Amino acid sequence: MSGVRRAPRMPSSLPLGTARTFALRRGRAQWTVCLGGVAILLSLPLVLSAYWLHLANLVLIAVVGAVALNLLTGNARLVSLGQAAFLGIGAFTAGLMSRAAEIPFPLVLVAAAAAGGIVGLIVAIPSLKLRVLYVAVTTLALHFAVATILVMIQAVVLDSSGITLPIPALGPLALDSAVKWYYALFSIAALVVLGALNLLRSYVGRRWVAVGEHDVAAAALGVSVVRAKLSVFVVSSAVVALAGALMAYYIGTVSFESFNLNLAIAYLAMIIVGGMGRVLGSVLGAVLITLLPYLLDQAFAGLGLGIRASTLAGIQEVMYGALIVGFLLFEPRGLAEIWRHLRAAAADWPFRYRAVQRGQR
Amino acid sequence: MSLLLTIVATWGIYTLLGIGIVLIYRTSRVLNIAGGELAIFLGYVVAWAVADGFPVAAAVPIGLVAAAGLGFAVFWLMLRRIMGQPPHVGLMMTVGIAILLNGLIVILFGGGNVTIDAGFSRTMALGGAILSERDLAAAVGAWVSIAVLALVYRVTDLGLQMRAVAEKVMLSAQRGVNINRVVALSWVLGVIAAALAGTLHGERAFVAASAAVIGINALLACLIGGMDSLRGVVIGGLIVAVSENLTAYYVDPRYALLTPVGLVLITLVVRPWGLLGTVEEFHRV
Repeated sequence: MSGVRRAPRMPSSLPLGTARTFALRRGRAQWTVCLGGVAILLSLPLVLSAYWLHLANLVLIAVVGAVALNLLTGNARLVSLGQAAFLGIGAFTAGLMSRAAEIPFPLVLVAAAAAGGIVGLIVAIPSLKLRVLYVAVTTLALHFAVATILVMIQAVVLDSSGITLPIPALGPLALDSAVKWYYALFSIAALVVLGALNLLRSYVGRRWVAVGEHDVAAAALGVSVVRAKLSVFVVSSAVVALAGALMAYYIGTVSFESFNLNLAIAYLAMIIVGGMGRVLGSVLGAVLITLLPYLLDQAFAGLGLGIRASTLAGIQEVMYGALIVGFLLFEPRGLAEIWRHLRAAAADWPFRYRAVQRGQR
Repeated sequence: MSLLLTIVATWGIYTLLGIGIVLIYRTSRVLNIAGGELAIFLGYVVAWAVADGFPVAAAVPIGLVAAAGLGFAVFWLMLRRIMGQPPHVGLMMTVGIAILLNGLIVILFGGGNVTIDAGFSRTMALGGAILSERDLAAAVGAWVSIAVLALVYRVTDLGLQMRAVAEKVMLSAQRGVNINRVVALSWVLGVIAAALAGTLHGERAFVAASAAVIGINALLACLIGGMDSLRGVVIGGLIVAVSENLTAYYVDPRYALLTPVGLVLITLVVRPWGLLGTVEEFHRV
């Protein structure tokens, strides 16, 4: 039997699912699927039309923002309505910096993330004393404060309708086409996804989850609630601000109108629809919610229905609301859970249930 | 003088809407973010009825019946199913309801500015000062509604049961209070309060998709006063109305929301349970 490849040894008392979750080594099949998926994603620019490539880029930016929001709202259970504010902070930092001087693109991104992190820290301080519900209101207050300040900056300081950003360059490579943007955004999104997955496996992420589940119980177990809340706010806001800066550069202009409360709710919809507290969920939700308005638009155009733009915006809002309420009622764990079920069903096919013991398969 | 009347009118409207939020929060422990959207949606219903030729005396009851139905439906179909889940679930659900209603406002009513014309004029002279008759009507309407709601809460059996559920859900259930019924009725009452606030706001100014911001003001009033205190909302509403109107009048209407937001942040840092809220709330495991 020496030629047979043996499964890694697991303590026999662990249930099968647990053993898989904590497995340090991945099987060959998993690596194949992973690399295959990455290869498909990397070859997308070859097949997509310019319009769809543009949408893919928007999705990638949304992935960065949604993954970060999910750490705060999904894992630490601090419902944030300040997403648009943090995106706006990142975008305006990028806009104002590139307007003031010729600063290298990566440096601007770092500065935007830092600005987001600092504001996140400030917002976190009142939320330390508060229960979950009040954090939503603190971040809502932040939203209105930031919105007003952005209006002020745009009206008083800039005296214009917005800021136009230059074409950014990564070293010698200018990001002047959608394809180049795709690869740049793909690498950043991949880094953020991997970073989030790693954080959630580390003691830092586990601290966030513990505080989210029950802060008093976590404190009783020796977890510092203060440190957990501060760190999750800083990390999440910094990455969201980074997404805002990327958005600003990608679109090419910054204006306060884009950072309204509906944007914050759209991001909340992403993580609820995708799956609270799951990185895969953030990705799936970002894809669905970002594409939804464009798909709706095309569907109505395809049906030949002439619908006013304002009505279309209304329909879009109704769909966001219906998705949030529907998923909370019927599948609170989101698309990520549906995906897991589908995968399990596929693995056990043609049987309906998994065998009780390993040997029986 | 005219500014004073405006403050009293907006104070009444924020307090009314805030009372709706607090009624719902006390019994069901759901922080209702959708208050402003509910108010404006039902304000549009009244405006639509008035525009359709109904007299105001008939249009307002139509709006209140719609409010009762909407409040019951929202609780029975949505919030009831997630009771007992962690608090952030209910909060996110009201966020979903808010954007859903916002979309419906745009689709059904267009979302533009509509004034509910109750036959009052914009100006009247009173002892040398020029006042808005509409502000006066809104102020009177709001404070009469608040008095009625307070009376329902203090005097009736239903009010007693609501207070019992707010104190201890388990004990009141054991004493024979039908929890689902009481919480459903508190949603009905809360949304009726929102409908009144929306109608009065539409009467003194206008209903519009953007006017849902009165919900934010009401929420700020609740936070300053204490989420679970009806008396607190009255004080919170005063603070919000005064700070907002003074900023709008003396500084810039665009920055009107900034002062109450700042006051709320100070309150949350110094006294997170609000001026008259219950402290115990924050230590419950």
